[in-house]
Amino acid sequence: MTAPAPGPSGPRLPRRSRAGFRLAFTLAARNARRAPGRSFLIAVLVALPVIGLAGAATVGLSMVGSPAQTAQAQLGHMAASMQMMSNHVRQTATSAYPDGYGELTPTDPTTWLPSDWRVVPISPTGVYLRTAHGVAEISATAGRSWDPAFRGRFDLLSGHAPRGAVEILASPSALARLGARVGDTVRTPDATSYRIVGTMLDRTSDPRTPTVFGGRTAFSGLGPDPTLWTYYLAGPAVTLADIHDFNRHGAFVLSLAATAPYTSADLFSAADGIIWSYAAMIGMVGGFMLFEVALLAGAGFLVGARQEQRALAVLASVGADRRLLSRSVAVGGIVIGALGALGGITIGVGLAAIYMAVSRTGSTMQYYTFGVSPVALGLIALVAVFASWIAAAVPGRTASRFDVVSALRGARRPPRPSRLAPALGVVVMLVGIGIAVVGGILTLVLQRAGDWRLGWLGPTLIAVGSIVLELGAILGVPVLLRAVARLGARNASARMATRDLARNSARAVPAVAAVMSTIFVAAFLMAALSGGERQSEASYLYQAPLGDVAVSFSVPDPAQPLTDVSSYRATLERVLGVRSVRTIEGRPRPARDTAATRRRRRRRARPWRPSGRMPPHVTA
Amino acid sequence: MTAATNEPLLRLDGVSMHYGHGATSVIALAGVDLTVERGELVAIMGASGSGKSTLLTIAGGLTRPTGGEVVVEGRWLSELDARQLATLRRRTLGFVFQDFNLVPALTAIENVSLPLELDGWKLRKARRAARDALNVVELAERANHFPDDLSGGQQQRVAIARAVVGGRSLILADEPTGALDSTTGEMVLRMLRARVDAGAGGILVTHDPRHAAWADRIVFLRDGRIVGSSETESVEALARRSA
Repeated sequence: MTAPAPGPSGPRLPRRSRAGFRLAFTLAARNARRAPGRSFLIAVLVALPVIGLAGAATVGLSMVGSPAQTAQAQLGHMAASMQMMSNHVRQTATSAYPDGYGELTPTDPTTWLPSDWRVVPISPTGVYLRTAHGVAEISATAGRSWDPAFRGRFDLLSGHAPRGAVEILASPSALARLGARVGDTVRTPDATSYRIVGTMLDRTSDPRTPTVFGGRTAFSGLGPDPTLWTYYLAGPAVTLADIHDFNRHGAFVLSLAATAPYTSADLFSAADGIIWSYAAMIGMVGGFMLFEVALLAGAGFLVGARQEQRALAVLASVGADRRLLSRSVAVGGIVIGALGALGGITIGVGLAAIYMAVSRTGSTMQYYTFGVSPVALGLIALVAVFASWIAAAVPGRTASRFDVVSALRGARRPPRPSRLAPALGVVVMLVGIGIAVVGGILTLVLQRAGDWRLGWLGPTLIAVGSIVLELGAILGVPVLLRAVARLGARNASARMATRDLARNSARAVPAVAAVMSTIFVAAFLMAALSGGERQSEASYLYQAPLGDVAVSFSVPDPAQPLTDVSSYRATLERVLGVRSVRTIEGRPRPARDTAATRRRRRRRARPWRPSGRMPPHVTA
Repeated sequence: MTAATNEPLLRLDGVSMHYGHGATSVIALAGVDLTVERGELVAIMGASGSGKSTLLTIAGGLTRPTGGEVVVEGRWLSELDARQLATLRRRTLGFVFQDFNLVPALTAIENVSLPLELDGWKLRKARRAARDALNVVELAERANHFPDDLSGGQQQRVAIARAVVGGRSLILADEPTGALDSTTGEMVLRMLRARVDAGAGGILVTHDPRHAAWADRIVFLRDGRIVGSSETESVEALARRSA
């Protein structure tokens, strides 16, 4: 018999067959519905980290206001606020930098500001007031906070504005703290009296914080030093040109009109590497969580692929190639991952809403809005779906390499273990170690160089290296399982279990890997925490020699020092059982504008961005 | 795919299949020669383990033989890679199994249109062809039912519809009536016969001489070898000899 000439080969299936994807999605969705228990379990595995990440993202973004929102919260109906520094300032719409050092003497802006604006100086301070139980230190706000232009920032709830330095307003929590009512008189330890003439709230503060509000001279300790005050401008809008003008006088300016056109994203892009370092840390934790998901869900997908092996064999018998078989399992990861991500985001955002409702204090600067960011949530969902797809892709590849004929008869033979895998595992482990070591060295080098812009790179490399290291170890697990099985066990159940594991290593490996990964994360966190603690111990500054106790007393009024020291001595000897007590008295130096205080001011001055926080108050 | 005009639909030239090596080697097929022409249904009979199913999977390109050559419509299967074999199964070959082997997650019409959709047919066209095929097996009204909702006979008719849809020319049926009652089994065989009479070729693996009687030719296998054919001996004599 003569052999015929080889015939022409058949045309190939298009590489990106839409029919293949449609079929794969149909099969994946229907299989997920046919095995609701397994699908639910995998979806929950995907959803758990998504709930955490979506919740954290929503709460975090709710705390970040737009420049206009933060300006509005701080200014009420004022046009702008200013803080005086001892140097020129260079401001753009989204950032500010000191321009020079100490060449200016801070001046009261009322001396140089055009008369278009009415200026209201405000300063936060504190005051000691007697309560029924003793003396309490209460937050205080000095200045005409009841000015109508502060509506929205300081709101007069009842009563009337103070007339003179002896009248004050109190927040409802301050009334409760002082055990007083509107109309009552409260006293400081040095017998200064204040009559409470109404109630007021600073909308930017936690209403639970007791606060009193008085005129500019109501509270002691605040001098005319312009750096101690924030000057609010009522009047026409303050433009960027005005700001540049004011900068020359050493003023940091927060203007509603100038910041309004900008978004939070403009602030982030102008921010330094700290945000990216935080993002890298969150990404690292999230990455590990999703790695765990991929491992645990992988076991679930593997079980599913084994159960669907006959259906896959049928597909092969009607002309599906390996790519489609693999894809029909892997797409299951996308379908279930999408369900898990959707559920996780819904629950995460819901829990964030509940958390925000429970933790809301009433401060306008705590949560600016309900920060549901489609971009952030979409990114989280995308990463979760990707992790789920990866989890299903490996079983998908395994599922495409089976004996079709056996599978058509219903036989489920485990795949043969690869001989190359252990050697490859060692190589992958070495690569992982290398990446992690490079990450560690880079972290040290960048820390010593003080370069925070690339602060995210070191931890990221350590995380990636660790994951690669684990993947290498996973490749070696089947060898380990076979070795354990060969050792045998006297107990028949244990022997059967170990041999079954060794024979079906593909089923056991994800579980082993998940345990390995959990232990890795736990060990990593424990090492990091204990390292931090050791560092804290090493750098701890002792307040007194070992074996001694230091007890400090602060005196409300420096003019009236402690007189009854002997009673404190007796109490300390009795309570602490100390052998001897010595008293050291320190007196605060009066505030003076000296070269040293100017240096301190310079050190405290930081570039300011209109990000919701007021510039630091420079005190002498 | 073009077919050589003088070529049989299927030709097996000295096909052998050995499992294992050395002392543990098992011979499933030993130098089998077989041809199937268009319009011809060949029944293969033999005892369990005689190599009937192995022959069928080799003819369908699901298993590669250890020796010999399989030629389908003029194509040497040994020359085709996995992707080309998959294409051949989509366009030329149709399997019918004893256990029906429908994809449980797909409806009857989706199961039938599967090879066409995999081959890149437009969905609507593939579904129309599938509905026509279901019409032929008198199951058009059950098109949207899942296999679990169909009886065994209905599932096997869906499997036949899937095996013939799109004008595929070679039907390979492995005990297609094994899980069916006699009436339903007869209906299934009538459908197979009708398809072959319409121009296809087919192999029917069966234990039952009554079912084999639907074939044009009966071939007997024993220990992986063809021991006779109905062309040269009576069926009863061959059955005795191959047992």
